[in-house]
Amino acid sequence: MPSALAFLLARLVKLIGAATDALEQSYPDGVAAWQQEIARQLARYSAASLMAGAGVDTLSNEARVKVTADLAYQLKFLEKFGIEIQDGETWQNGWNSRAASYANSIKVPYWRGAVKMLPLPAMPAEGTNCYGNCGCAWEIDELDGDGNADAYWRRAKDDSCGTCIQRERDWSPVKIRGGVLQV
Amino acid sequence: MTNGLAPPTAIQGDTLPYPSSGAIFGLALPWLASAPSAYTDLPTYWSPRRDWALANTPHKEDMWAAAVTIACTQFAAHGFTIKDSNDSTRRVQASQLLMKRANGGEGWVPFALKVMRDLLTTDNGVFIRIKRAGETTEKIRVKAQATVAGAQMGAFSEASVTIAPAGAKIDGLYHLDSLRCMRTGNLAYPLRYMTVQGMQQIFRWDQVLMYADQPSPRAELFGVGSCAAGRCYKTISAVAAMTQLMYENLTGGGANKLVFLQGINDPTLQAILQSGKADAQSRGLVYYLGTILGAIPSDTPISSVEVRLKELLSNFDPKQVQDNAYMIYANNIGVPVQSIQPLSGQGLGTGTQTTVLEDASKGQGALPAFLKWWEQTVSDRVLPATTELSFIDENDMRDQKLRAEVQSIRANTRASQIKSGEISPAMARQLAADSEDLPQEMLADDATPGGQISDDEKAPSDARPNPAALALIAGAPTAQPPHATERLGEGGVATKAKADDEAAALLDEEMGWAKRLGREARRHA
Repeated sequence: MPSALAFLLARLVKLIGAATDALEQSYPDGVAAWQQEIARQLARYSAASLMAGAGVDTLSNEARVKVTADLAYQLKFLEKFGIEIQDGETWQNGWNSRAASYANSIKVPYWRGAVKMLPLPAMPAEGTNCYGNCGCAWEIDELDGDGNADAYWRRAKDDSCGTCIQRERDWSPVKIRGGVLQV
Repeated sequence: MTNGLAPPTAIQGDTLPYPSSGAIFGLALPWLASAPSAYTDLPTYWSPRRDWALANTPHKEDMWAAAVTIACTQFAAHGFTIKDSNDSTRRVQASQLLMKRANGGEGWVPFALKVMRDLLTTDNGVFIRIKRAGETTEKIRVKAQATVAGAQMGAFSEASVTIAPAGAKIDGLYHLDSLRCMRTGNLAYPLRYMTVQGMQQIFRWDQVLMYADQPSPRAELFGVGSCAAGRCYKTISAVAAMTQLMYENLTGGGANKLVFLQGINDPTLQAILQSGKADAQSRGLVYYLGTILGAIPSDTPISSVEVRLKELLSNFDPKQVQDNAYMIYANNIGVPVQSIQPLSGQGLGTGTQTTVLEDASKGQGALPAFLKWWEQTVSDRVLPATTELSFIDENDMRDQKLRAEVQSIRANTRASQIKSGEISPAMARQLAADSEDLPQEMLADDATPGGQISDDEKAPSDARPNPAALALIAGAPTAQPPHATERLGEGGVATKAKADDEAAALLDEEMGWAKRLGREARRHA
């Protein structure tokens, strides 16, 4: 895992863990505040993750649209999770780890930035059976010519899920020519 | 009733010119309207004499009379609504007056009671005269056989025919005595009617409504039916006979056995009986004599021989006969059995059973079918093209509760549609008015020409949206409503838009922190 991503991920996991522990103490009160805090951290770290991946200090319009969509996708799940917690009668042990798993969602914007917003079919941890535990990466081989590249799906774990194995077969490489994905 | 004006009569000859003219009918009526003297087999199906016997069945059996009364009053007390798809108050008012002033101003209730009585107790069925404005009656010479219920076949040479201008406004509905009506089998003039004064009158197809319960498929009967009284005539007769037997048994009338006594002479026996009666009278008893004790100064032994004249079978159970009869009455008429026979005292006499039985009886029997026919026919042939009549059972609290529940479901559906951005609040108000959840007068512009259509409603004349509908369409929601659902669902339009907005706002707020974090992360790289 790239060290910048690992740094962000570790901090976010701690933050979410602390917030969730606090919620567990105050449960059943504080669900809305907890939800607000997690959403805020996800927004902060998603944007930071994309910028860290791209090695830039600002977000382009295209990057902003993408990271907004990624964040909105996670907020939908978070909303449902919040309702589930609110409707529950007692605190469930699984809720802490489930809350921590939201941190993995920043892998997607990181890789969007890392591949310089290339129009790749999917990012690691996006649409895989291993969800946020995905350890895969894109390896970009930039070619001569504007917007020409070959991208390789690389697996870093030996217990990859079926989706990742299939992607490695199918997407090694995927060709981008003139900034357009060749299918 | 009619602002002091005398109500017009439908049939010339059915009303008499002077108040004193009715005297002769007053004298003759008990004979004319009397029922056949005893219960015998019904006259052959079908003949006017058969209907004469059937029409008199309520005079013969009390519970049958009660069942007929219940059905008649249920129909008469049924609330009805009149709607106009163009929201014309004038047409709705005129149509309502037509019902309220039925039978020349007598009103809806007497009209409905007579109609229902004919429906239940005559095979010939129901006949309703439609009177139009500007009618003129002419006498024509005819040569035909006339048959009137209760009378012999006869000939007549003159009949009156009423002529109205084509499409003339209908200004009255009148019940016609079914026993005086004869189906002609002629499509243009399907009915011949004999007035009280004996005049024959012929009605054109658009001047009369005819209906019979269970109409016969035989062509030669021209739609004569099989009424509820005819379908349970044997039961009515059996219960009536049983009741009569009990009555005579209790009141001392009728003999059920002969007893021959040996060893006592008649004067002695009569003296003993007289003595017993005198003793009972002195105690104020009318029917009951009790045991009469008489001392006979003789040493001759008294012997007797009994000859049974009539008696019921040893296993005869009157209660079972009655219960079966009530069930048969209820099924034939189409009312719940518990409205004839109270459930109290029975094993399952509960509110649940009442509900179940009432549900089961809905849509069965003569009454529900007639209600449907009346709604459809009056809407189609009597009321203006855009006006329709429908019955509502306003006395049934359970029905009201069910309607309230359905209204609540519709309201929830509209609320969901607004939340999802499918419709606007204005559209929801229009939908609410169409389904009568919102009074029509609370709608500024009604965009629905014909409202919703069911099997007994009329199709709207113009399917194109009117200006009010176009205004509604123009005001359809193009973005998610301000108060979209608080809870996020999977893939909902409003929820997705809300999540996008929320995410964008959060990103804006957190961008400063994000930049610092990004830089820090890059330093760790």
